[in-house]
Amino acid sequence: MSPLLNAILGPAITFLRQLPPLAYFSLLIIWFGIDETPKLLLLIIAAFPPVVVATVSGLNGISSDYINAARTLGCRKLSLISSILIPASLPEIFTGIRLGIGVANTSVVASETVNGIPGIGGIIRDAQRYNQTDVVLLGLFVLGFSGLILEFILERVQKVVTPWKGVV
Amino acid sequence: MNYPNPTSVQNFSDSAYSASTADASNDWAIEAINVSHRFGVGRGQRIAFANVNLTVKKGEFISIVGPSGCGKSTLLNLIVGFQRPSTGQIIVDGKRVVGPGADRGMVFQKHCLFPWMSVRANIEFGPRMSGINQSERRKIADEILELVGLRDVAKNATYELSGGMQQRAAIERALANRPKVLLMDEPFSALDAFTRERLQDELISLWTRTNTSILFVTHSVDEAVYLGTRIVAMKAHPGEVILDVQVPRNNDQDRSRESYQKDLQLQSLKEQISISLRTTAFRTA
Repeated sequence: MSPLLNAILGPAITFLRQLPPLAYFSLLIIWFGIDETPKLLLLIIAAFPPVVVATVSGLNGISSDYINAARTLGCRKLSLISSILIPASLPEIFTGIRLGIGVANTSVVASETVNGIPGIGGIIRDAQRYNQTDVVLLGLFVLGFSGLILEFILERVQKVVTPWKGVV
Repeated sequence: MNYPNPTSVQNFSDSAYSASTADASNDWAIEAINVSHRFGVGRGQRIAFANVNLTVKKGEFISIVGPSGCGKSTLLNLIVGFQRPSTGQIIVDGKRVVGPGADRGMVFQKHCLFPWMSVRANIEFGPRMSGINQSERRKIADEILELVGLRDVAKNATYELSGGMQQRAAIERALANRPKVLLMDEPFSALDAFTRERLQDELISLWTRTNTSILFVTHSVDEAVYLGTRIVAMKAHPGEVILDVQVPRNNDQDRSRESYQKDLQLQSLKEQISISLRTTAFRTA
């Protein structure tokens, strides 16, 4: 990680991370309306920081042993990135993706409940207006359960992609 | 005894160097000429070692032995090219070392196998980096896997292997590049005694078959004498070569552990090295 890139990207990511998604979702609605576009953008913006933070920490945490071994085997800059740096930080990148998807998911739903945009969050908000406790509970259950499934799948994929995580 | 006084530093004359560098097809695998290395800057600067001269002939198996802090690992790092010497120069196979390269294989104390690759992919890594095509790579790997009995675990993940197997694979990975010299930094020190002995024997047999020059760093005098054809002993604070002797083997063919243990000449050489390392340690401590 170059110090310059770190100096520019670091504060920008931290700035973004400190913003509650609800705050900038208002801006996205003003700019893009209430259809799917602002939701997509919200997903991306919310998921971005955890992935970047995890990737940077993954890259910084690579054992110099791997890099040194690769260099003595004739590995140079470009192949060092593709053969060593990326695979070595893959476990952390994956953890970042899992966190990012979680954050993105809850951000969108939370935004829906506030702004009443169609979706499960929107349904919960409408149900609250009419005091329909059962619908609110159902909505919450669906959200929790879908999160559970999503996490289960991601965990499985992570085990397949980075089986050495926690072993080495 | 036909080895020199242990307290005297055996240096090679300058004329020997100029003669060898003038002749491009010389038989030196490694030449370290007046190499000094310092750590840090300013007042905190520390000398790792000063004015080390070391030449390794092609096909030689040199053991570098000494206590920690004598700079033996630093010397290896300079030859492999991780660091540049403060003064002096290192020449491998007629070319000055400016950085790590495939002509110098390295085996570390830790196996450093890549866990995201299978054992086979690890061994093929070096050839892949030098642009050798897949079928050729497979052939090289197959030969090597056969050589040390790693064939059955070729498809396995590296972390599924025992410590001894992992270190075997690491040696094979380095050898797959067919390096001019193989540098080994205490490769067996993390293994249990039985596995260590087995790997020592396998290394001797690998060395006789491939005829690669080996520079083997260890802190065990026994290991150094058992493996090497030449011993370089170093003392610490500051690092300095105190002894550079040929191992007087009666029979180069018979390298069994039994005959090594019965060979009085080798056992007394071992004693001699231990004593000189101990006395210099006392002098400087």
